[in-house]
Amino acid sequence: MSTSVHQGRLLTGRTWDAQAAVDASFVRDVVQNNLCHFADEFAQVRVCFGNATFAPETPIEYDVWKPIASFGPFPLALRQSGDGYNLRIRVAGVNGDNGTASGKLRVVVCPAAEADGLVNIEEDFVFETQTLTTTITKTWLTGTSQGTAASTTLVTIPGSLAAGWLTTTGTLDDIAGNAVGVEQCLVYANVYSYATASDDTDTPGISLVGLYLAEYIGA
Amino acid sequence: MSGIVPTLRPEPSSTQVVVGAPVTGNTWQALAGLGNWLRGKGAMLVPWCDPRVTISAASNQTFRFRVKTRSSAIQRVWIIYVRASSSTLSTLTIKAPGASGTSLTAYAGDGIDARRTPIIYTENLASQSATEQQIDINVAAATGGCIVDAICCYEQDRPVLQSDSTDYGVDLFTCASGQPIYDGANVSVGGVYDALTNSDARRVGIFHWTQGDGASTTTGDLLSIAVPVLVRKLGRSDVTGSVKWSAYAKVTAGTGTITLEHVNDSGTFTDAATVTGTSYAWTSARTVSSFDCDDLTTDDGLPGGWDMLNFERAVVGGTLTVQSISVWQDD
Repeated sequence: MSTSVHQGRLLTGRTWDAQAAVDASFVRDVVQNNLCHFADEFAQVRVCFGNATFAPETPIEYDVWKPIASFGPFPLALRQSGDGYNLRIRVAGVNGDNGTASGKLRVVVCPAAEADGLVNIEEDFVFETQTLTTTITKTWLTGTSQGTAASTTLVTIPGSLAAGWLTTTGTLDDIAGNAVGVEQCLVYANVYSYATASDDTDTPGISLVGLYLAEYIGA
Repeated sequence: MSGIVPTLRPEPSSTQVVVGAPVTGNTWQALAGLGNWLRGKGAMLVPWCDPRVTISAASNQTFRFRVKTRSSAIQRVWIIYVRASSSTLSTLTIKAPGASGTSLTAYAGDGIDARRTPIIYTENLASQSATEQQIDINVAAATGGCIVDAICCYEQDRPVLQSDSTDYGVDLFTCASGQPIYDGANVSVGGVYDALTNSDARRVGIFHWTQGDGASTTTGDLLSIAVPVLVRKLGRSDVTGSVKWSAYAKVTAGTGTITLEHVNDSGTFTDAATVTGTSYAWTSARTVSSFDCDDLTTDDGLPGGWDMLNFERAVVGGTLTVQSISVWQDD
């Protein structure tokens, strides 16, 4: 949920007075509220495209989740609880099989090395689209996260998982500075395709044509 | 002294601040940590985009993006997915900035493994800057052609900020219980207030499209499918926010027009940029203020339906070629 008092930047016209005692209402309404609101809304767009087609490789396999592509890593923002910022998600697909086969897409937000093992589980960091049957035009799909939240627009990563996914990345402490490490939760959007009916055409099944993934603090 | 940037974002509660009572050291420490987190956490400059550009063997292409960077960044992390355009292993040379970066040699195979194997390039910045500018990466295929499927760029997170007037890192210890309260630079409550007034919490990269050095001369819709856009909420009563956008394009003659098309619950909005130059250049950044911003009262932030974005290209008297379009948040 939003962590600021007023759910928006508050401009009171009051400024910092170095000669006066710190006013608690100023701290709450300006310093605490504005810092928290800025941090709430410092939620980054991680993936946004809608042009290229990412198709499963041939030969098409049926009744298995077949990887199409990964987009990552990116350092997920983590809350004080350890939970990741929610990720608002939208997935676009196309049925490249002219309606003779049906299928769906899954997006698994996790480290790439763990994706194949997690694609089948029912958790809210796994998002599954509607099943495409006769649709042959590119379209944004409806879908649901696979955990108990069953969200149609969000994927969520609990702190228990994010903590295990923390890794240390090398960086610098300043411009041309000393080498240091920074702790990050690096995740990928791993996309899978699932074909549910066989045919003889051996053409690409359900393809990804658009993906949107953006952080959101939550209501 | 330096400002430690916490991995987990501090969330000081408003209930910890009671009017009429002193603000505790614990609360000030949390506020200082939050100020450091805001400046130290990197922004996404280029959300994952999908150039799908083929580079022939012994040739190269530069992928250009336009954004307003943040002054706290000291490194940019570029990540690309490249696959060989045939069964021949492609040997790549990558550098950012495209003209002067340090070369990184990488290899790309074909097939699904290449689509799941990122190539990561870290660009060390020569100076810290918060200006609107082009950022770019060059990919050269030394042997074997390749296909660049996806690109992103983000500012590397910082574990520590300097205590100066560029980073505004706050020494957390100086906010601890029992420490003197005073208005110093990068220390105590004065440092927290400076961190607030100098924070840059933009949702920087909104959308980018690039064809590298390729020449997209098609007119009509740019994207095969319009993409969602939602910008950050700034003021308490705001229901919309603004973005800036620019295109890297030229015409052979005449006048080209690139029109941003934005559809939301209230209707369709357009904003057109004119291209008359015969050499590639960025169009002057244009501001569009009609995009919905987050609604913090809803579970997913959506105020209603999704706002969708596309671009239309048209030309009179010549050929319009567009290499890149960038949409970013400026303030």
